[in-house]
Amino acid sequence: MNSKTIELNAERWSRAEDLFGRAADLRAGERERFLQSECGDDVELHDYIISLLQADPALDGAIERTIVNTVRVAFGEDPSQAEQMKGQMIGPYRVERLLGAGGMGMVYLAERADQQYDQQVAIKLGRHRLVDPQMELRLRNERQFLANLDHPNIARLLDGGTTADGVPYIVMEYIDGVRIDTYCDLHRLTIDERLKLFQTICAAVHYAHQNLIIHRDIKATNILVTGDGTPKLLDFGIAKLTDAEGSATDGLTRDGAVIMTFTNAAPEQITGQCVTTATDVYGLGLLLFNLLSGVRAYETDGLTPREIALQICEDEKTSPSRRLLQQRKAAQAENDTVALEKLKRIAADRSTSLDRLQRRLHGDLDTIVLNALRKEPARRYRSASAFADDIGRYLNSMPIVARADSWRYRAGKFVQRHVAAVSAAALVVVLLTAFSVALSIQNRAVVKERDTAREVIQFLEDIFMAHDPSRARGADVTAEEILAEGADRIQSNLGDRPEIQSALMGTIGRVYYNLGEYQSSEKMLQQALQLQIQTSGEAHPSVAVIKNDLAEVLFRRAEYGRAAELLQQALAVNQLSNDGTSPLVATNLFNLANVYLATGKLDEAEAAVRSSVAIFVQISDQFGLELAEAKSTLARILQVRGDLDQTESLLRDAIEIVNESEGPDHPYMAYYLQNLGVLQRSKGDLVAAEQTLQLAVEATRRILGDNHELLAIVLVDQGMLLQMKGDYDEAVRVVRTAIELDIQIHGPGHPRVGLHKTILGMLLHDKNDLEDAEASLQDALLIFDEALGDDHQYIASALTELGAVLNTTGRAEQARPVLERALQMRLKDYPPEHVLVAATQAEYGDTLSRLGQFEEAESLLRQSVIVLGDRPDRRSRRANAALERLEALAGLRDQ
Amino acid sequence: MSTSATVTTLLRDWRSGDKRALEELTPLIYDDLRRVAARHLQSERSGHTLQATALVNEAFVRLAEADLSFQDRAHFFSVAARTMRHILTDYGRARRAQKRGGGVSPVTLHEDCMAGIGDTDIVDIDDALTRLAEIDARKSDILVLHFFGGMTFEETAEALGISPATVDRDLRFAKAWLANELKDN
Repeated sequence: MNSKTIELNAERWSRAEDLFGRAADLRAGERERFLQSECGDDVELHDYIISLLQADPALDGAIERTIVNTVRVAFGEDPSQAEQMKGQMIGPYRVERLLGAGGMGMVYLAERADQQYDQQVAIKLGRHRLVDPQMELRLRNERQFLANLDHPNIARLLDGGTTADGVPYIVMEYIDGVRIDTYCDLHRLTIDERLKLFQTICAAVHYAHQNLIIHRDIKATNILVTGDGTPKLLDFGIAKLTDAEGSATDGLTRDGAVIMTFTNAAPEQITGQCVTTATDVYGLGLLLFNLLSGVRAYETDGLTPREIALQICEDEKTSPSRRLLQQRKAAQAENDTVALEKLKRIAADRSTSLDRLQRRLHGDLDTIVLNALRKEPARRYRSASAFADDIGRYLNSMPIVARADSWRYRAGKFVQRHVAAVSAAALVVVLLTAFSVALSIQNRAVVKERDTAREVIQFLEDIFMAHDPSRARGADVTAEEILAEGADRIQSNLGDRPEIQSALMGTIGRVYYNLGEYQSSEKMLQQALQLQIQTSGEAHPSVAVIKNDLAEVLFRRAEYGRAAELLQQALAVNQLSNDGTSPLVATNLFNLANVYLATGKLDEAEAAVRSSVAIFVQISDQFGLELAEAKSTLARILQVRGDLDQTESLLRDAIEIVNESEGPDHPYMAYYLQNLGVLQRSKGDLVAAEQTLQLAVEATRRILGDNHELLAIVLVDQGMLLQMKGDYDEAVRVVRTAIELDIQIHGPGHPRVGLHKTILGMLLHDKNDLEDAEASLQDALLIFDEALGDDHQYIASALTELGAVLNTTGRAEQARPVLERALQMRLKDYPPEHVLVAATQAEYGDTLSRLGQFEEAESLLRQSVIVLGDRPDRRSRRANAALERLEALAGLRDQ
Repeated sequence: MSTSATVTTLLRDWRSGDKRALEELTPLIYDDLRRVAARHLQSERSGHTLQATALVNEAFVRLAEADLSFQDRAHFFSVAARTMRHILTDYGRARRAQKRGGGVSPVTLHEDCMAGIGDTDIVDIDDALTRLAEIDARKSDILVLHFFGGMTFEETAEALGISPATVDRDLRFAKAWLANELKDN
């Protein structure tokens, strides 16, 4: 008898069973007391029950795996054949043992017999002899092609040929690994870890696609993860190679294999259409579906091939979170504890709970997966790398590119105000991230009570729970709704806990800030600030933290006076309670510099940002990005001062710093290169600008993907450069490309489209393509009208240019109300000496001079020329030209 | 008489107490399980893990008539699950013998993983189930039907003539017992 089994007579056995059942229902903490009182002196029984209770439920899965494994080898291997093959030669390789039975036949582990290389290989031996000699040639060419794939995450194809009997074989790098889904489960990889691993696979697939090779059969069994965690894709292009004899439909209808092959097919494989790289994107989508949710994308059990095919070709696929929910509900309805346990194990394998897993997947991750599984290949991610990029954006808490189609229609006001609707799950992530960021900043200054932090997190989760999609209406909850409710609950439930109230309001305020909801953000942070002052007094470091954040919001709302005041107060507190290398002080100084810069106080701005740089330099190992940002701000100041050489060197510093601390693939690289290109352009160094902007385009594509909004921005910069070079046609073409990209990314009604159409209007105006210019500007205004309400500065920009076009086409009377409105809008938000005010004033002055109101026109134009100076930019050029025109017109009159 | 009609008749006979019917039924199922599994593995092109329970299911679809009653269905599965256990265990013992005899390294498929219970193999599982049968035959049966037949509580309850609630309770304890037995293997 096994030592683990204690001597149990029938009576004791049923006693053990009874105690186990009752103890299992208790919470872990209560079990010990229960068992002690029940078992009394029978320590043996007590210990036995404990060991039963501790038996790992994961072993259940291990038992199943052992059985599955045995099934495979017991049925799959023909032992006589395997034994026969042992020691046999296939080409120059000696067979060691059978590895498995794969799609095309047997797979053997073998070694090169001539000892030329001490290398173990996997040999796939075909099932059939080749009959057609042409085929052998074709296979050889194909193999050569595949052998060129050289990527750390792709198992190499080493060799191939036909045996003496004429059976084709291929020799591949032997990978000693575990299939990816098993690997993820065994190591209990979290969703983030799985996503990162998956990104690596996407990169490998993308590499193959760039080499014109399609995998065609991406699935978990074809991806092994080695002991050091490196994923390796097997069988690239092999499906085609080994299917040379098979039918064109990838053997889908081959008798007997129907169900098994269907489950991984893409719709176009079912309908017999062309297999492209998009087929692999689909395969990646199915893989990700399963890696994330642990369940298959669709039901296959007990269905006929036809039913399965219909599901695959169905466009509206069920999302991963919904599939989990459906299975859970079904299991609950049928009281199927086995199925429920299985679901719980799926969650446990992802180091989370089932509730959390569902919530985590709901929203962006659902959308990302479904975007890869669209029925039409053209509507999926355009490439494996675009797929990986979107996951990257998700991991960085940035808005993803993929959008569920229906969102566009469902999205409410919140979206119209061009802030992406955030699903409940994503929002909690944002909330918690914002909180932890705030916490980590505070931690540097004060030792925050851990309990408060825990309560805050608990509270955030509670808010979220109220929006658990499985309980709520099933619709996406907008961020606005959930935040509003959170704010309400903080006020009503936590009146007696001001310190927690304050922390929560601060967090929600920061989230509003990140969402671009500055008014709500200000309100929240304002309340947080008051509460914090009440609790801790004015001089507390937490007060300084909130003041800093509030100032950032006020900065965005252009309330520079109040922002500066708060920052100075925060700075005073932080300087008192920290040493000279405090990141808090440096941050305050950095923000202060930006406020000064915005109000034109260049001396103060420069002093502040230089102090900020001086601090960040000392702690640059931890704050490399902040240092780069501070340097880039200093660059902007010096740019305004006209010290363009110094500006350029600072931007180059910033690029260098990011490169060193984060590597060449940090998103800031793309942004700084764009800045540098724009700077060189304004220096008139058009050759360098052209080069840098080209680098910026490349970096953007590489780092942020072909679908990133920065790409459109850089393209527009390129367009403006081309305009300066006098290449108007090319300029217009490039900007139009950018606009197409904008539409693709943001949809046709997005303000960015309007903004770039405004720029297009300027280019067309300069090109003297006046009709198109006017149309483009009218388009822009329509978009702004829909999307921005009626007081946004973008509108003023478009109106200004429209007025200018109307002036040019001799319709000054029509231009007048347009420019009056534009000027009013400018003056509402900017001081009279602001560049933008001056630019609008110049066009309005031009209108007035064309209408013969010379005195008023002259005063406006002179003001604007003073502000705009005589720099070689468009605004200044136009203002000076208008003044000259006035002088000419007035001169005519005087004559 | 077609195979499915034969199977159906045998199932009914067995249920009404004819022991010989089971003796005739088992080899039919045995052969079919082997055939189905072998064909799957040879033509396999997908990552579908070939599960014992899936094979049992498919054997059922192939061998039994569509309008089989729930009771007969449950009995079919119980026979198939037991048969599956024996096929796999026989194979496992043969492997072990071979290992001792010829020094052949154990066959492990690169795409599978047995981690979690160390070197436990099918024979260890079988031995444990046999030990359990000596203490509590019903629980051992339930585990066999669960792991090798993939049967629902209702089917298990029907096949063993007990209530689904009992199956649930027994299974929970039996799984813990089995896991505990295999723990440090």
